[in-house]
Amino acid sequence: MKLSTPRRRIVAGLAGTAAIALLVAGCATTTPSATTSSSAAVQPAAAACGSGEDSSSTFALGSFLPLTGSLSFLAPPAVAGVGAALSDINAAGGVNGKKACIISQDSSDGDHKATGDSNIKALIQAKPSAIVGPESSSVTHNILPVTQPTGTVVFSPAATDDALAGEAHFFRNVAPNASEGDALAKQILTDVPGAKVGILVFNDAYGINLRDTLQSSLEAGGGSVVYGKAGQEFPSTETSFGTIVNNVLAAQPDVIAIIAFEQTAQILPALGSAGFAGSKLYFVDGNLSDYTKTAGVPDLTGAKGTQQGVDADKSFKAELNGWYKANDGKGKDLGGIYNYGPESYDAVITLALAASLAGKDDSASIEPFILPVTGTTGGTVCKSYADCLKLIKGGTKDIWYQGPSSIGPLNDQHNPSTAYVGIYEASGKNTAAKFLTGVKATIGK
Amino acid sequence: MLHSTRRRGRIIAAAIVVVAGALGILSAESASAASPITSGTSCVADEASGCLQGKVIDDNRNPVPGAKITVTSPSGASGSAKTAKNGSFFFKVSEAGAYTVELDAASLPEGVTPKTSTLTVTVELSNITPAGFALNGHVKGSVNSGPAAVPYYQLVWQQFSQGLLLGLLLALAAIGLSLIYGTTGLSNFAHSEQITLGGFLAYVFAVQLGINIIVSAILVIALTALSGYLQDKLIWGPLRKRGLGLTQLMVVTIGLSLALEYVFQLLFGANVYPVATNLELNTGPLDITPTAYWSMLVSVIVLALVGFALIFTRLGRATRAVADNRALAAASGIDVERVIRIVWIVSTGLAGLSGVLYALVNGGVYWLTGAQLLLLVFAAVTLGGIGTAFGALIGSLIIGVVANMSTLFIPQDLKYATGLVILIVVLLVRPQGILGRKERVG
Repeated sequence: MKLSTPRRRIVAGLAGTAAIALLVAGCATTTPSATTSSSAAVQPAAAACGSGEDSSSTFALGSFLPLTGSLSFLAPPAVAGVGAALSDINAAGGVNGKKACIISQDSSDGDHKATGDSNIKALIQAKPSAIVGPESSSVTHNILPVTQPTGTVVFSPAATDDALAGEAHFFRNVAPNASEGDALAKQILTDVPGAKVGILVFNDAYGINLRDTLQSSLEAGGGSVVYGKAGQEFPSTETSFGTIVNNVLAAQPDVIAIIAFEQTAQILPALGSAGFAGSKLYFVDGNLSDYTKTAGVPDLTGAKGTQQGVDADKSFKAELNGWYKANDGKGKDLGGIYNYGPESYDAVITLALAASLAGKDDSASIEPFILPVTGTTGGTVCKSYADCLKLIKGGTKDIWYQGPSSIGPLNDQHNPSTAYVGIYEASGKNTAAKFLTGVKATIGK
Repeated sequence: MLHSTRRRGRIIAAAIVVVAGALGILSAESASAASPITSGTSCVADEASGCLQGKVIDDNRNPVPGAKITVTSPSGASGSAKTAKNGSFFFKVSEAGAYTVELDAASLPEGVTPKTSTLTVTVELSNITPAGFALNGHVKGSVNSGPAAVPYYQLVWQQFSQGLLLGLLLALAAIGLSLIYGTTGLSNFAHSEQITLGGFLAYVFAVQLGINIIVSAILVIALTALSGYLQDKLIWGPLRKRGLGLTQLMVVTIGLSLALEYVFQLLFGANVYPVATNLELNTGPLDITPTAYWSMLVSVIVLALVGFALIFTRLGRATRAVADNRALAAASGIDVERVIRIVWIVSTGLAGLSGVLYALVNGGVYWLTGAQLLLLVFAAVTLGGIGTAFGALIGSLIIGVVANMSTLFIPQDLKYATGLVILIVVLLVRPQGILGRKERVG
């Protein structure tokens, strides 16, 4: 196409600005990634679904993970979980005799609703067998009105908002917030009986829901919330935390719990500058990570945090790392972040086993078999796709898949009946340095 | 695999108990070996056990070691232990149900007395149950290490100083936006991405390449200024020549802004990139970090230089002439295109500096840092009077101070909205803005 002069100039101008940006990037992306040797042979990634490959003939898994946006730092482990699961499935012969394929779309985050809204429509049009994702509770609330009328199964490995329980065609294998807020409250009250707690919470479905459960569990156990109550959230797009820190410290909390995503990297220096002891901080989920490379972070030794999901064992972590490095990571590994990797893996395996039991690949056929596969009706225990498939092929219909996420069978609200919340203690600036204990939460209906 | 983790945990816990016992750290006075209650310095819950744990602290929230705790299970088994050096105690129990936890008042050191000496808690297996005691009074030598009491006037002052800081950083970006509007009539929505670009470049130079921050800042200003030059030469100049309307131009800036945002995200992801490296404590009359003081000083000096250059230099006078009446300026021999190009260079350079300082003061930069500031910068410019440099400064200070001080009264969530409410009120009363001149409107 021949461009007219001004248009060419615009393109050139954009290119000029982009060139500067690329210069920036050239420097930015040269950071050497930590090398971890993966001795095990990594299975090749499942192919993207071609035209005509949809749920009518193929197990076409829709992947709807936050490849961009404020939650995108949690995408790699989930991408690796989904990818490794599909690789394992295809290595065992695929689903219903045919290799599974993947349709991937970016869910983005709750602040970029337009991206998620248009991508979920594109994903639905590709007629996936089922969708794994999203990770964000806000995004899940946004997309369910689109997916539910089509009957497409949405299986989230990470959406923890309590209010999502019982949504039609929606499943999850992660504990709802109530169980995590409760575990965090118990840990805080263990450390400081009758604690006065300041909560730095961002205004988001996930943040508010988790704050509410934390607050009610604290109050039930003799503690209190002195800052961060309803109406004291900060905007999820906040980039300047000086005033917020002034306000929370004026309330004289014994300890501070931080319920936020990426904002935590800016909250910690602000708290440190104000002189609040890093050992009196509590973290949750995604912000329970390593801040060694983050500037201006105070020593966090002794700080604690909770995380939904089990602390996966080393060999499974190595499998995820190896898969990610060989495929989507293009040589980079997961950098020690495994959040929701086991849950993503199990979501895919569960869906594929349900499809194998159904003998068909569409959501309507798969859905009735999801609960039985997770053990809701009991059955013969099997721990990998290959083993479970052998049982199915051998004529066993009642299988009970128990994967790395270690959840109990899904209940009729499509929540796991039991799930683990891990409690960790920080050392130096790594908040997830030491695993203290796993708490098995029983999830009410 | 969970199984193995648990087993490992149990072995470690057992090892800790053995070692601690051998060293005499733990004064465990547990009953018979058959007792399902064991004490230790940590506890890992599993399918067959729960953790009954807590701390004994005084009213300064400091630990009270050596306090004797006795727990009794629903079936009558009991165990006891003394709190460790950090005031904590852990009992691993194998029976679920209601436990009584007793604090032996006689074991407490002088100065503290129990508020209550018996607790009843419900223990679940595979879970932790807190059962600590907060005592009245405090042990000799115990000082309160928590946050000091902040009198209200001090909080008001702190939030004011935060507002001043935000205002001065906004002003650097706002003056550029105002000058571009003044000389070309263009509302540049992509100005915010110049701020972000400044922050990212500062990260690359100062952190990744390890260049001194002052040298880095100068390099960043040079590069962002260059991006302004290129933009005007390749996009805005040609579009002006084609006689494109201001509305169309504005749409182009919005598109450019979104495109750049996603380019940043593509390159950097969603992470926050730090620019400063060390933790600094708040200090001085404004209760902010030394870096923040320096940033404010730099901002004031640069703003003053720009302001005086506009008034006293030839180029400054030419710029104001173009802003006042472009046709007349051109007719009187001023090279309007050259002036506009210089305005673009200076404006983007200032926005770049603003990005450096904002990232320095606020712990880092991420792909949407500029976008968060855009509306505030626009509000500041409009409030101060569009097209006037000192107006932009005053507008920025007002927006910054009002937004941050509003958190004293209203939810944090609404703080930026207050700046915009002020904007509407001021414009209703004084449509040209605070320093704007009347004839420019309409």
